[in-house]
Amino acid sequence: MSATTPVDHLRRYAPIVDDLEAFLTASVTPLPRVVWSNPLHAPPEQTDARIEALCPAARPVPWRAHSWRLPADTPVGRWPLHTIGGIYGQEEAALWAGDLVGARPGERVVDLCAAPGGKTAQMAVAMGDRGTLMANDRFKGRIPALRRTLDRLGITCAVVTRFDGVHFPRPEGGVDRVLVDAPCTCEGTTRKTAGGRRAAPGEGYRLSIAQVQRALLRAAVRITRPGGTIVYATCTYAPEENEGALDGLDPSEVTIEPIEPPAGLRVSPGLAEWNGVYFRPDTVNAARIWPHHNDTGGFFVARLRRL
Amino acid sequence: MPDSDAYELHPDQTLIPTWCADHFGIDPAVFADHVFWRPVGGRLIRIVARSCRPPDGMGIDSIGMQVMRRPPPRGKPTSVFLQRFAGGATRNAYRLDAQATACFLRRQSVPIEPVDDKRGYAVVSGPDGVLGCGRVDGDTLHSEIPKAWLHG
Repeated sequence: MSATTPVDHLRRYAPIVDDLEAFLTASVTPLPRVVWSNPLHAPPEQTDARIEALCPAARPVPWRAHSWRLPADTPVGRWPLHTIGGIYGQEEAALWAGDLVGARPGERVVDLCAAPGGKTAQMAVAMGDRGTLMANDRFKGRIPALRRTLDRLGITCAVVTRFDGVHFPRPEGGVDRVLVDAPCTCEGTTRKTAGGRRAAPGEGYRLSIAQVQRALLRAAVRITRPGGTIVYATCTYAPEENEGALDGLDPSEVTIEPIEPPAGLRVSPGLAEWNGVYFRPDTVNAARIWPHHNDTGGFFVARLRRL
Repeated sequence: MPDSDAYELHPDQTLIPTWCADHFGIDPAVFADHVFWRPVGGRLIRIVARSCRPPDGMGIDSIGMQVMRRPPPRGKPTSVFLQRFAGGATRNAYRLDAQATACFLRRQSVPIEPVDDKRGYAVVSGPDGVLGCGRVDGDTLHSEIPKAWLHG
């Protein structure tokens, strides 16, 4: 691939990616659409059969039940099944982050940066729509999309809040689980745009957003009860925004757990070092998803245990 | 942003189940795991999972799912409420074929033969489940789904 492609800025990852050319080629290839069946709407087996009928080219996501890959040009949003909340469309790599939270019925869970609500919905479904799911987003303009997702999927256990996640108030006793799906430079989303045409992130923005990411992680640690779970996720490859953000946490307060990817999902371990900067040793327990390994977008995820 | 203390349990927890049973033939047991909330002193009604407990005093934007902006009998049920809870409707319930479903989702009216009440709100279903709220006016079923759902 020539040096003038829209994803040329991704060449900075040559030292940490196994096949640079395959990575760059995948980064400009249109992304398959992925949908999952909503069990709050109907038994998922019933919805699965309907998806197959509507789109004979649909293929199951190999590592996740009741989830389907569809051709990139499938007009899912126009299906009545979508309008009435039978399915939800979500980037495949992002699905794992929602699953890793491990939310259970009756728990108290916070999604610090919730809009547009895909992972929030995943957690609500995992909770069986029972418990208290606080879906937070600081941007007023993003709240309607969040509400629309929750309403369309029939979720009633959610409380929508609009705090700056950094200052999210700690409920008495703390919460069981927190998802920090942090704002980032979105380098892993190039496949969503035509030919990867997304402006390369400036270094100044990368540094400033990294400060926000660290602050959000500190907030998550503050509001989580001892023994609780925190999942940190971004859709970017940058170690400064991933391992670097995790490195800012106090090891006496939180540990990064090893995570086993589901069979059929290939991931790469977190980094111990980047550009001569060494991170806390347990950052290697995090995972990075490269687009050419699973035909998905790019993603980074880590699961932390509050001590 | 209102405080969670600005919402309260609705003083009449049987209002919606009773209205749904009378108007749509929905079994009140469908609502066994849910409770109804409202803004303090307000008319709007929201349905919330019984186990959902917003922390005291926390500023919240909304809770659960909206049922009606004002109580029955004048209130109109939201389409999302009917999609989740009206699958078992037996009165004022209409099932459309694929073609009529497409019209309904474009907010177009559909000719019908009234099955129960000659006027009033109806549960409208398509091949994939409940589509939302309709309004029967004689031999016409008007679509009451939100404008925001209109397909481009």
